[in-house]
This record gives sequence, structure tokens and C-alpha cells, in this order.
Amino acid sequence: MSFYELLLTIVPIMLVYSAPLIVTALGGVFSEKSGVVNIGLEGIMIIGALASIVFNLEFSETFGNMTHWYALIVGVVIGGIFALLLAVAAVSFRADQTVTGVALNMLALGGAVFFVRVLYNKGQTDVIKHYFSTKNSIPFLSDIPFIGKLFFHEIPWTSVIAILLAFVSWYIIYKTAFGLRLRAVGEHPMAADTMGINVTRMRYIAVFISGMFGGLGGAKQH
Amino acid sequence: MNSTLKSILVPIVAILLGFLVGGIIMILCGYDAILGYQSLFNGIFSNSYFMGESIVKITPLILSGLAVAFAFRTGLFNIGVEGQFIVGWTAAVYVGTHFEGLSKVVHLPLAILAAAVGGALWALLPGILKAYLRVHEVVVTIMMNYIALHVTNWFIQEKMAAGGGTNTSERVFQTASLSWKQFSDWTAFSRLHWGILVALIAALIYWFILEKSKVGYELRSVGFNHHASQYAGMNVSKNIILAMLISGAFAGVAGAMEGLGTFQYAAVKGGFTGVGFTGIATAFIGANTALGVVLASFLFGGLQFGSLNMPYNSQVPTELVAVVIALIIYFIASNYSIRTLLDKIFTKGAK
Repeated sequence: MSFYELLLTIVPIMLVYSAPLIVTALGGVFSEKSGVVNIGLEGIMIIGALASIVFNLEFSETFGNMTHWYALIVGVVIGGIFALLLAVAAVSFRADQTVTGVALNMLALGGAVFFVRVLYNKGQTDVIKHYFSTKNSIPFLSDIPFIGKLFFHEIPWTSVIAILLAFVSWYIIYKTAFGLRLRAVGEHPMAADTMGINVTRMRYIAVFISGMFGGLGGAKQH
Repeated sequence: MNSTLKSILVPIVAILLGFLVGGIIMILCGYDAILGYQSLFNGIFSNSYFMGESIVKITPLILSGLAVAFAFRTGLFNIGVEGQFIVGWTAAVYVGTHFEGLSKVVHLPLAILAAAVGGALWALLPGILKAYLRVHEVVVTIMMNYIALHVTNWFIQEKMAAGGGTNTSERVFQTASLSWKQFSDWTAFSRLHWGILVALIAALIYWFILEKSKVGYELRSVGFNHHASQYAGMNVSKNIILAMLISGAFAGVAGAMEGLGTFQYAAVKGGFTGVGFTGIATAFIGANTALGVVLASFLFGGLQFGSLNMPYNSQVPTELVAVVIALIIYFIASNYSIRTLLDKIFTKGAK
């Protein structure tokens, strides 16, 4: 097997597996930049995955082939809401961020299995019917010799979205007024406060965004 | 109200809140909350076997809690207790399954010591990196957890497995075992062993080192303020490494409790045991004091074991207790709100 063939087997799989990691890490970036360490991302991923799987199973009849897209959105929203638990404790109640994050992870792990048992009366759910297949080739780009077949041939939409989101995040954090405020709040909250930025609100937003990314990361994992 | 009373009341309020929210979750999901908690309580206290097994669960938690608490008190966050615990377990069983013919007076302390040294050595690297290169110990210790898990798995599989495709080591020799026949007779054949005594002695040692010795004073001082300690003539780097070593030793002995007492062998593990992570919670709830950690371990260990009884008597899934424990940690972390609440209640009463 030549080196190129080896790459052909490794890279597409790598893209598939990296999608949840990319998205969740982006979530970490948002809250970290605002000065909140989000150890709870693992738990947020679990909750996002749970929400989207349950949605996928329950509503697969209603939405048919679009179910997995809606499930993704449900995972995002639920992840964001779950992350607000961290924001309430860490921002409003001045709790230790690391410990709260660890508590969220434990809560998610226990809570997820608990709810699966409550809903389905067993330790794991059924296999979902609608999922992201890996049979998408991006037009034009996949025709590029050598790298086209490597990076753009038959990859799932989730990976494409993940990589696009990385660019979007970079733009938001470094090129917009919102991003500037976000970084200011993280680097010097008092100075940001003096300049009229609502530190608490910014941190809530950042943690919420972080949770949405985490939820998306979790939703993608299925 | 005075601060001592408040520091006792805050965890109690947090624990009650945790149970309250847990109860609400049970009711919302259509279970009988009273029956649920009743079966949890029965799962701990209803007979001597349950009580013995609860103490078995509590023993390593005390030690891992002490390990985390020791690091906390010296300004370090040792998330690597899980890894040091696994290394300690493996080291204890390795010594326990070798050196046949030693007397118990030599063999048992030797095996526990091996576990302490194993755990301490596993904590040494993060300590050195922190002391000399200012590498954050949280990241390093998390990584060391994974390294510990897979290295010990390899070691157990290749060097200790009994052969014939098994994934477990042989049982430790009687001379290295913590179990005592009398205990299992009293508690209807539970796995209760001498480890609880070791854990309580360790709590005493913990208290003595931190509160009563010069070494402990220096360690705490470095934890409070690096610069002031350095100015006062203390060797900051040395103290950071020493703190990690002692913390790791506690974690290692926690592993010995499992290796020499509860299981009496080491097995290839599919994942983390969770003892080290629960230790973070017990240290936190016990406010990093010896007595606090012991009490918190009794609470968590009891809850974890008692939860196994819940599905049989009340159909409530075991995981509810994991949720309750997480909630308790969450509420203790946000103790600022509880403190404000208590202040409000008690100032009103004073008027």
C-alpha cells in the first residue's frame, strides 16, 4: 500500500471523528476567552447527544429524512440551556469554575443514563434511523487532484460544518465588536466594566454559545 | 452568626438541597420519592452485610479525598488522583503476589508502602513540571490519568496475569491481605477489611502533617502565597514537589485498599474507576479538613452503595444518586448564594 493510499484510508475517517472535537473545542474557546473555564463541556456534549438522540427517535416519523438536521438543532439548544447552569453558578454565585464544571459532568453522566432508563426502561436507546451518511462529495473541490480525493470526497456534512464553524468563530472573536468585548471581559473584567460593558451578560452569552457548541459536538457524535 | 457555625451549616444546607432536588426529579419522573429514599436508606443500614459493604466503598474514598484535599491545601489541584490510585493498586498487588514466605508484619506494610511509593512517583512528574517549568498541574495530571490506566493495563496483562488468557492477576498472599475472617463473619460475608482503620489513621496523619508540623506549615504557606513564602526563605519548588508526592502517596494507599482488601487482585480495566474523581467531591465538601473528608466520604460511599438497592425496592434507577451527588457538589460550589441566604434568614431572626 502506498503512502497516498494509506492517507486515503486515514484522512476521511479522521475528518469524521474530528467533527465533534472541533466543535466542542470551539465552544471551549468562547467561554475561555470570556474568562470562564468550561470543564463542563464533556457533560454538555453528553446532554446534547442525549437530547438529539431522543428527539431523533421520537420524531423520526414526523420529520422523515430531515430528522437528523432538526435533532442537531435540538442538541444545540439543549446544550446551551444546560450550560446556563454553569453560568448561574460560576458567574452569578461566584462558584469555583472548575468544581462546578466537574459537577456538571457528573450530573450529565448520571442524568443522561437516568433519563434513558426513565424513558425506555433500559440502559441504552435504540439505534436511530436517520443519521448523517458519509456519502457527500463537495462539487468542484473534490475534483482537485491529489487533495480533492483526500479531503472533499465522501465526507459527512457534519465535518464540513465543523471546519466552516472554525472560520466563523475566528471571525466573530477577532473581527467583530462583540468579539472584542468578549475578549476584554476575559482579560480584564474591571476595565471592561468601566468601559460600559456588562460583564455578567457577556459571560452568560459566552457560556451559552459554548454550551451550544458543546451540544452540537455531542449531537454530531451520533 | 459566627463563621464556624456557618461553615458547618453551608454543607448541610447544600446536602439537603441536593436531596430535595433529587426528590423533585423523582416525583417529576413518576416515582415515589419517599419510597426511593427509604430504599436508599435501607440499602445502607438494613443489615450487617450492607453496612460492611458500605464501609468497603467508603475506605478508598477517604484516602482519595485526603489526597485531593492535601493538594488543595497546598495550592495545587491534583486531578490525577485517579491515575495515582490505579498505580498504587497495581504496585500493592505486585508486591502482594510476590515475596512468598514473608511474615504478615513485614509483607502487609511493605505492600502498602509500595502503593504509597507508586502513587507518589506518579505524582512526581506533574510536581516537577509545576515547580520548575510552571506547567499547569491540572492538564498534566489529567493526561497522567490516561497514561496510568493504559500502562497498568499493559503491565497487568503482560506481567501479572495468571495466564491462560485471563485479564486478572493472581490473588495476593494471605500475608499481604487486609481481610480478616472475623469481619466477614460479623457482617454476613461482606468484604469488610482492615482498610477502614488504615484510612482513619491516614486521616490522623493528614491532620498532623498539615496542622501540627513545620513541614505542613511551609506547605500551606507556599499554597497561600508563593512570593511571600520565598521571601520568608522557603524553597517553593521543593515544597510544590513534596506536596504532590504526599498527595500521590495518599492516592496510592487508596489503591492498596482495593488491591489488598476489597478485591485482592488487580484486573485490566476498561475505564476509570471514579474513586479519584469522587475524591475531588469529598475533599470539596469536607472543606479540605481531615474530619470533613472522612464525613463526606461516609456520605458519598454510603450513597453510592445504597443506591444499588433502589431499583429493587422502588424501581428508581441507580443513577439518581449520581445526580444527587452532582447536585450536592454544585450547590456547595455555589456556597456564596447559600451564605447570603443564611445571612438573610438569621439577621431577620435577630431583629
